[in-house]
Amino acid sequence: MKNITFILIALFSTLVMSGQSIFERYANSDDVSLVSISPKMFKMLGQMSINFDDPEAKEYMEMVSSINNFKVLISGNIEVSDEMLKWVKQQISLEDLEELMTVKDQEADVSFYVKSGKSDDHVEKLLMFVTEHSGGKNNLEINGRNIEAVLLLLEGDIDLNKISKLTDQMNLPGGKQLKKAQQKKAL
Amino acid sequence: MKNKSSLWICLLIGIVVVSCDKKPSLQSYYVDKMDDSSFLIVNLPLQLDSLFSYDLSSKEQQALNSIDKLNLLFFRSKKDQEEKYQNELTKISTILSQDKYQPLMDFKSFDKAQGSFLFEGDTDKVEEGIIFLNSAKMGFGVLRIIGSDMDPGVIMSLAKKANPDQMKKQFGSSVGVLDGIFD
Repeated sequence: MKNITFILIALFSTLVMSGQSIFERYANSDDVSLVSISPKMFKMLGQMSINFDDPEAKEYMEMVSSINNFKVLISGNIEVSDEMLKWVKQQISLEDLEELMTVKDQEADVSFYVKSGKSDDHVEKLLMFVTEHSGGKNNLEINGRNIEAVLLLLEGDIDLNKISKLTDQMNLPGGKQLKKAQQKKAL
Repeated sequence: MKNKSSLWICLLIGIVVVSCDKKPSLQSYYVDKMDDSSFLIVNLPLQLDSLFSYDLSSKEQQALNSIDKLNLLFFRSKKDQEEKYQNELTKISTILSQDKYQPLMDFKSFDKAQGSFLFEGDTDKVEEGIIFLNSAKMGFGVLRIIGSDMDPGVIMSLAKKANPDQMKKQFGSSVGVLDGIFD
């Protein structure tokens, strides 16, 4: 009986520990840049989209409101990047994510992982992880700080065909690769 | 039996006492800091009607009236006030992390700056919008947009109709009040 309780406690504590996302862990660290948009924000934006007359803006807003969670974490040092990689690997096995594609180019490695949604070009969850090659010539920079890795998490009912529009607008590293990724998925 | 019922009553009283325990609200924080010279507090009552040169629908008129005022609090960090800055920052962060203030967006840029947007109420009936910004170099600021049942959607469509010249004028005079803070 004691044994069972012990096992239960151990199981529970690992669950709790893995439940804390990497975004929360580094929320107050000075080694990262981060943007996090809550589901409430997307709900609010969705309600706004009713009031747009411009069809292009409306389409844009509809796409935005299909997302309900958006997080970007940018690390400026190697330790944090390693933790990010660990977390990504853990997520892949925990959430059963499928690798959409990996691009290696001169500056960085970019990997996309998705959790399939209702159809082929819709996904429930999209993880993008960009790591910079150390010692590369063209260092990625944001606000004058060298960046080591970028982690992007999107959740919702995501249309891969539309999402690259969004990443284009945000001017994030990896936007170009994502375009290629959705083209590949569409084939 | 009597014992049991008195136990229930005790429990009930306990719950009431605990739930009445007033957590510091943003409002009480503002009031507290009114006389503190490290803080700057500006109250801007909004008169938005003059921004619109043509007719508004009743829904828009209602949205317009739903915004009451802007309330700005700013703590300017000085070198000898490092400790106070940290203290106040902790206090304001605790207040803003209460459940009633729902986060919309958080952002942070390494050690340079940090900020968040929050709101109180429902997504289509906002009672209060809050913008919080913090930068270790400058200090921190909280802007409250206070109203009742503000509908962000209607307000957005209103913003499009606003007369830009009038807006500049209005904003100019409001910002004029703030001139001289940052020198």
